[in-house]
Amino acid sequence: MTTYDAIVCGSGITGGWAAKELTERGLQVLMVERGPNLEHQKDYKTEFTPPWQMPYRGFNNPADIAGPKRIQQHGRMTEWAKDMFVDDDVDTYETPEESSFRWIRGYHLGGRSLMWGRHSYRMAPLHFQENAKDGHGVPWPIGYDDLKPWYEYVERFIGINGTTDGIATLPDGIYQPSMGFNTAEQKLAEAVGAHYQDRKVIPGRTANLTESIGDRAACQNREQCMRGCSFGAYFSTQSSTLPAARATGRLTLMTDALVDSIEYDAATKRATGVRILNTRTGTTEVARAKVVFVCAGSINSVSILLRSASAAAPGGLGNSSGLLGKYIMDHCFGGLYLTTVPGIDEWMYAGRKPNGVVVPRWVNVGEQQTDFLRGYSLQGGSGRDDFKRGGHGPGIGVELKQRLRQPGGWVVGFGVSVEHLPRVTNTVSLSATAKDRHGLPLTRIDVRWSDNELKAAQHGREQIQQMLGLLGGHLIPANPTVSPPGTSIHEMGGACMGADPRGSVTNARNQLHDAPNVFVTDGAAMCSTGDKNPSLTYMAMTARAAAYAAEQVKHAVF
Amino acid sequence: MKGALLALLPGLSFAAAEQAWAATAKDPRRPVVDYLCDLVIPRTDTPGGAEAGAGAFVLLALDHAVGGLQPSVLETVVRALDAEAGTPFVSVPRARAEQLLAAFDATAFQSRENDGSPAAAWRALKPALVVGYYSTEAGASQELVFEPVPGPERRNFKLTPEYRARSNEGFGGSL
Repeated sequence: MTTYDAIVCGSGITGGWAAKELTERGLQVLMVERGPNLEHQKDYKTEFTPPWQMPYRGFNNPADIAGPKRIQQHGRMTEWAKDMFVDDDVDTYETPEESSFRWIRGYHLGGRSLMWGRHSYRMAPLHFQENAKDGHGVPWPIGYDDLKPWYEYVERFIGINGTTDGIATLPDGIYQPSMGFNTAEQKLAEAVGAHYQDRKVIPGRTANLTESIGDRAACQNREQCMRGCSFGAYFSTQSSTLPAARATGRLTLMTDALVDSIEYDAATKRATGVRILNTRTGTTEVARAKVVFVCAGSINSVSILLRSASAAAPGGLGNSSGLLGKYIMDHCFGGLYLTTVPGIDEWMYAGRKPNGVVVPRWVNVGEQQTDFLRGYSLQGGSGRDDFKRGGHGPGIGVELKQRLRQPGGWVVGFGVSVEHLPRVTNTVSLSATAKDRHGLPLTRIDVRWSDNELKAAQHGREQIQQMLGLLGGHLIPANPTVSPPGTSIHEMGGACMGADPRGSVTNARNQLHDAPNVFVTDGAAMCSTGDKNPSLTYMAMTARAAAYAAEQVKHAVF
Repeated sequence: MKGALLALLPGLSFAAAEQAWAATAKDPRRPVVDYLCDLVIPRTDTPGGAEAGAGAFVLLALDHAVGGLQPSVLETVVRALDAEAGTPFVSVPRARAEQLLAAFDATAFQSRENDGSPAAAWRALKPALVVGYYSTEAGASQELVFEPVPGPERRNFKLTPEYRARSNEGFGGSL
C-alpha cells in the first residue's frame, strides 16, 4: 500500500487546484478521478469537426434529449459536447418531484472544468456578512479580506479578461484586457448608464485568455469552449493546473477510480486514507495519506463524507453537528428576455467572443429596499440573427438566398441570477435502499426555491424588461420562468464553514471540525451563494487551504 | 427506409452519418424533398438545396423528430401542393412550381395558428429545409463563410456590401 502526503478526491476545478498547489509545495500527491482519462488536445474528439460531419448537424439528437441526456441537456449541452456529460440512465440519483433537481455532471479527468461557463467573479464583502446579518444559514467564519490575496493569486494564474469598474458588489481583480462589448451591448450599456444611477452594464469577466500565458494561447473567438480547447485558451484542469502539477514530478494520477469513502481513525481523530473503487474491475483498494482534500464537486463531496460513516461517526464523517448535507444551494436562474435592437444594423463584430455582459447586484445594498432579502445580478449577451431566420418567415428562392448572405438583426438579452437563501431543509442525503451502478447508496437531492428567490426573480424580470425597453426594440420573452434547482450548475453547501463546530461542518481553513486533516474546498464549504458565478471563490479557497495544509504537513502536524 | 435509418443512428459515428445520409437517396420521399429544398434555396453562383444534399437532413429531421417534426408534416405539405398543382407537385415544371410554392409560402406566413393545416405544416417544415441547406458543406462554407478559427482579434466594424455572413453561429438550439 502506497502512502502519500496528500490524496485529492476529484480532478475538476478545485481538485486540479489542490493537486497543483500541494505538489508545488513539495507534497507527494495522489489525485483520484472517478471517470476515464481525457488528455488535453488529443481527446477533444469533436473540437474541429464541422457541422456537416455531425450526425445531427450540430442539433441535438431528440432521442438523447428525451432519453440519456434529458437532464444534462440543460447544461448548455451541444451535439459536439454531449459525450462530456454523463448518461442520465447510468449515473442516476434520486430527487423528489417537488425538487426536480437537475444534477449536471461530467465524469472524466478534469470534470466540469472542461464544460464550465468560465465566468469568474469575486464575492464582495457584503456577501460574507449577510448570513450573520439576516440570520439565514451558517455565518461565514471568513471575510473578503481573508480571500483577497488568494483571489489575486488565482486570477494571475488562470487568466481572466475583464474591466475594473469600482462596483462595491463586484470587487475588481487582476485582469487581462477585456473582450469588451459588441455594438448592441455597447448601446445597452450606454442606455442603462444614462437612465439609472444605481446599476451598470459591464463586460463579463471570463477565464478566457486575451493574452497568452506560457503554452496557453489567446482565445481564438470560436465560442465552442465546451468541446475542449487545444489552444488552452480557457482555464481547465487539462490546460492549466494538471500540467503544473505534473511538472513537479510529484503527482500520481488515478482515473476510473471512485472514492468510496474516507478511512478514519477514531483514536487520533484523523483520516488515514481513502477507499477507492476501480470502476472498471470493481475491485477496491485503500490508499493512505497524511491529508485528504475532498474536491469531488459539492454533491459528490457530501456523498463521500456521508458514505464515510463509521462507529465513531455514524452519521457520516464530519457530521457531529448533524449539518452534513444541509444548506444545499444553487443560483435561481430565470427571467430570460431578449429584445431586438434597432438602428445599428450597419455594425458587425469580428469573431465570436465567448463572453457577454453582466449587471452586478444593485438591490438591497446598504439598506433593505425590497420585499425579499439579498439580491441578484443579471447576465446576458448579444449577437445577430443567423441563417435560421430564413425558415421562420416568408420568402423563397434567389431573394431569400441573397438576403441570408447578410447577418440578421441584432438581439440582446438578460437573465436573472438570484442568490439562494441557505435553508437547512435543502439537503443531500443517501438513499436508505437504492444503490447506484457501483453498489453504493444512491445520492438523494432535495433542493427547493423559497418565496424569497421567486420574489427576487420576479423583481429581476421586471427590471430586465424596463432596461431592455430603453432600446426601443421588440421585447421577446425567451424563457420568462424560473428554472428548477441545479440548472445554474452552481450547487453549493452541505459542508458549510463555520466558527462553531456545533453549527457547521468545516472550519475557517476548510478542515472538517471532526477530522482536521480532511479539507473540503469545493462548493460544499460555501455558506452562501452570493449572486454570481462561484468557481473563482472555490479556487481561492482551495489554494488558501492547500498552502495551509502543506505547511502543516511540513511541520508534521499531520 | 425509415427503419433502416433508425437502426443506423444510435451511436452514429461521423463516417456512419455520411452513409446514413447517402442512404436517404433511395428514400421515396427524396425527390419531392429535393425539389422543395431547391425551390427554397436554388442554385446561383453556389449550389442549391438539392445539389448540396439538404434533403438528407430534412428526412433525418422528419424521422427523428428534430425540432419536433413528424413525417406527417411533409405529407400534409405535399398533399396540399399536389392539390394546388392538380398533379403531383414533383412533376410540375420549375417555373410553375416556383409560382405555386411562393404563393403557398406567402399565404402560410399570414397566419401563426398551429391548427394542423397545410399552412402550419409548411411553417413547421420550412426551418428544416433552410437548416438542411446551410448545414451542408456547400451551404455552410460556399454560400456563407465558415470560420472555424476566427483568431484572437475582436472588433466592431461597419458592414460593407461584400461582407458575407458567417454560418458558425447557426448550429444548435432550435431549428
